[in-house]
Amino acid sequence: MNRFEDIARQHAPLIRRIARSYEANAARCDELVQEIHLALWQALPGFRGEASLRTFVARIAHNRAISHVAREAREPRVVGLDETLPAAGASPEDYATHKDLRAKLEAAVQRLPVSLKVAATLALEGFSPEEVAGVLGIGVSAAGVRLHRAKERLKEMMEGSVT
Amino acid sequence: MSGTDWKDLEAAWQSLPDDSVPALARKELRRAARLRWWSKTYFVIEILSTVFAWIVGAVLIAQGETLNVIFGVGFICLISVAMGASLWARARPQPLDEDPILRAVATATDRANFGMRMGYANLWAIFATLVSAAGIAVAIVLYGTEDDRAAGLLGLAFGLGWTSLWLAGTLIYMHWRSRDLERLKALEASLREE
Repeated sequence: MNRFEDIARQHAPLIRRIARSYEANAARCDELVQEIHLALWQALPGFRGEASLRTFVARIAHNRAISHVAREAREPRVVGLDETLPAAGASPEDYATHKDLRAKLEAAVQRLPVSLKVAATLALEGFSPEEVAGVLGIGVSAAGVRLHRAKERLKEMMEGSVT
Repeated sequence: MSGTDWKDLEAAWQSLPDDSVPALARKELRRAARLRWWSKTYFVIEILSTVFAWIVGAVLIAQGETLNVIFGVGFICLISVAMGASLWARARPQPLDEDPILRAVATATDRANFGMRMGYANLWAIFATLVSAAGIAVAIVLYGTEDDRAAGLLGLAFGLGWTSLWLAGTLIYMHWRSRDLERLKALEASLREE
């Protein structure tokens, strides 16, 4: 239980961000986060270290989120982000700009098709092409292509050329 | 900040608030453990029910009367096929959350395909049941005594009611499964595309 709690705490932000990329509704997102934690708790005894721990966690989070979206049988709805306090030292303008960018980014990721969403969220988390390949179950070169496409698509959406 | 520089996007993404992360409640863990326990218990109940049904079938056959022998053999065959199908379904690979996404989706697609085949097998079994029921009804009317007719036809009416529920359940299941299959195939295709 302690091991699970440590791992869950360590990867909570990753899990939360992946969940939010699939589910825009705050209450259902909480449920999804709980579901992912449960799945992690159930899968953890089988972790043998073939992949890195964060690859293992990302696989579980994406697989659970895909099942969740299928079960909900609707597209993620885009809603406003939670109010958060500005970082210490940030000016109101910086904070507003940063918050705006974050909201746009989250909305853009939510609108991506699943195949690009997985690659985009992992790229935004700083996963290497090898790790992305491990999460998706495809070759490293194919993962590289997928990452490139996801990044390009996301940038286009952020620039407003694609809605 | 241009908003399109990848490093900016990474930083913005990783700053997304996670302050409302709900801790996994211990009661949820206990609920999951209970569910797992129930799943095992259900399997044991399924096996015990099958053994009990076999015994009932054997008792019917042992009574020696033609109608009872027919019912007994039919009952044992039906229960054996149902248990065999259940074991076969359980033995198939399950999609695991920790699998790479493409493999998990492929396994889920395989299970949905299997579910559809089981659905069609059920439809054939229902058809066979209806044909058998018609045959039994004819046999009861032609060869049964007055008492046999009343009891036999009541039994058949009960059987037909149960078969209607079986048919409705199968059709609903197949409807859900076909939608799952469609969605999973589309997802698998999009995950595989270069």
